[in-house]
Amino acid sequence: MADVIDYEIFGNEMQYVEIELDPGEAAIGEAGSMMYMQDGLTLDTVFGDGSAQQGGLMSKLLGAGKRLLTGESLFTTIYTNQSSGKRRVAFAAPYPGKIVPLDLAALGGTFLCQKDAFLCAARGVALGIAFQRKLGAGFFGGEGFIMQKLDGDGLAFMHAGGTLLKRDLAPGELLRVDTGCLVGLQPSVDYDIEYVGKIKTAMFGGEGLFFATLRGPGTIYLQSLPFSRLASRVFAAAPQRGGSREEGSMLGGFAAGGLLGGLLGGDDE
Amino acid sequence: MAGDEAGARALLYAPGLPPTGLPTSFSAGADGLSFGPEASLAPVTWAIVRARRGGFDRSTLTLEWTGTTGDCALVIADAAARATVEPWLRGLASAASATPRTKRVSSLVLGLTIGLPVLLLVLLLSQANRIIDWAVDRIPIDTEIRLGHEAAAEQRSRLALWDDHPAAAAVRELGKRLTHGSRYPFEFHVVRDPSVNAFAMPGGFVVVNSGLIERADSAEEVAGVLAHEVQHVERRHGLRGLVHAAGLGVGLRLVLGEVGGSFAASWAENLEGLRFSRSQESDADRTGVAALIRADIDPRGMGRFFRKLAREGSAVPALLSSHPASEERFATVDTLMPKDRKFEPLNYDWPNLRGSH
Repeated sequence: MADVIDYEIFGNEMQYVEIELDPGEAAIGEAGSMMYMQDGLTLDTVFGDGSAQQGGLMSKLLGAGKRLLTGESLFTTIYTNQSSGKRRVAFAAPYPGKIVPLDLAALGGTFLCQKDAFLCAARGVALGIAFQRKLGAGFFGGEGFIMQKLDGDGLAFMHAGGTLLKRDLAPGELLRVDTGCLVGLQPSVDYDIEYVGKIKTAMFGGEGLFFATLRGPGTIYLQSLPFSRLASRVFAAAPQRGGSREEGSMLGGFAAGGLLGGLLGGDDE
Repeated sequence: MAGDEAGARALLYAPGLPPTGLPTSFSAGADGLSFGPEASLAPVTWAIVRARRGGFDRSTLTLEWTGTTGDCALVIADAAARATVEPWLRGLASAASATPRTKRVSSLVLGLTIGLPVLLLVLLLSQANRIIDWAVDRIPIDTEIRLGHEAAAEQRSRLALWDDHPAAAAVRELGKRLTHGSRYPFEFHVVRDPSVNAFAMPGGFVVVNSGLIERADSAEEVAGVLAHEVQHVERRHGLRGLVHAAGLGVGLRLVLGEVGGSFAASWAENLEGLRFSRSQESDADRTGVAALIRADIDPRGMGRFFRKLAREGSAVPALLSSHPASEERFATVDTLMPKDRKFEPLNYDWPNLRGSH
């Protein structure tokens, strides 16, 4: 059994979640997402995931290897309440969006989320990975290929960028989504990659060449703003990349010209 | 989470149930599926059930049917629970047979993924010379000259330049005659060094050791050596060697016109240890002879001087130690000599100029 923790989410667009731990309870979090913690909490960094410490060195290494594959840090941090009273620890979202509490018991014991969406969980939730076995998904699915698998019966929190959409798919119901916008889903949902069709759409439509086709039954979570999308806009607008300095400039195309000019006219004398 | 109730467990999706699915127990029998009391759902016969392999990673068994209230589904993730159902299913046979095909395709893609980079690498190595040629062709002359100046400045501080040597003026004159109309700004120097040697750097910095001047018996012999060294510059042999040694990455930076001070300085050291290849040496011989003829200088001096050095076997002179000396090489030079042309002897009193001791 995972620890039963209480929580409260603060903020609107830039949120943080405050978790209340009874004496002896613990929470696991991504290293680097902690915001503050009260006195009386001890912080322990463990190799691999923070679930029950059974198994030998090999299984620990395997767990760590899986985390490496999903792009997360090799170490998980456990925050344990060693005091005699209630204590609080808070974890903050890394970019604008919503924090989603997931009750794994109600979700059937397993939930999949995008690899960098996981924020924190009660002790007893095991972190793993789920592979999309279909070939097309591996090559073209981008963010959706490897998902973080949360196993257990406690609370876990994930973070979605922008505005959150929770959608319950009825048995057999189809929904096409951008691979980056899918932030979490129940493992009962089918996941397939579909080719959009025309190269022209891919080049000028701005969307990826491929969509993820989801088929119910099950619950899915969509984020309106995948961080990679935001990052690429920020990067493109940076002055070092030739981004326009004036807002609302109509000469957006100069970004490309600046890059090209930088390459060709590289002589800086 | 072993079930308290008898029977296997799965997630049940149906109208009226939680949209995230209801964890329930079920049992499979000859009549069909029946569910635990928490589901409050009537048993289903096999006739209306469709089965497929589903879920994110294709590891679950999904049973679907249309009940009286709407579409329903039972998602079975647990392997033991799946085993209780599978004997009753026929529809899954097609799903199972699809697996080998996927495997075949994936091994093909795997082969391509590994094979393609290897193929590219082999292609790159086999075409290395062409790629170097391509890169060298794209390095602008003024970049090369700038690079040469950096390297020459580096060398200048270490070489004992002897520009008032009695023969220095003659060397400069001969060099000017040999490089008439060249695109490179040549510079000719004599250095105080008893070894018989001469060298040239990209961009046109040519150095002749005082030892070589002493060993030469006529101006034609010195002119032969100068013509050979000048051709290393004109034919960009040094640059080729550099690109080869430093790799394509550096070559590309040169193409893009990026020559920083420290960058060039680190190259200057490279230049020193540079050896020309055998084919570059004979190339310099051939074009050197042609240059001598163009400058109206008797080219036989070149062959004579090299032969003389090679014959005196006691200690191999430095000039030849870095230049693969072979009889074939001299023979090739001999075939290039014009048979019916007379050359005016150069008007230098060499034995006097070389300052014989």
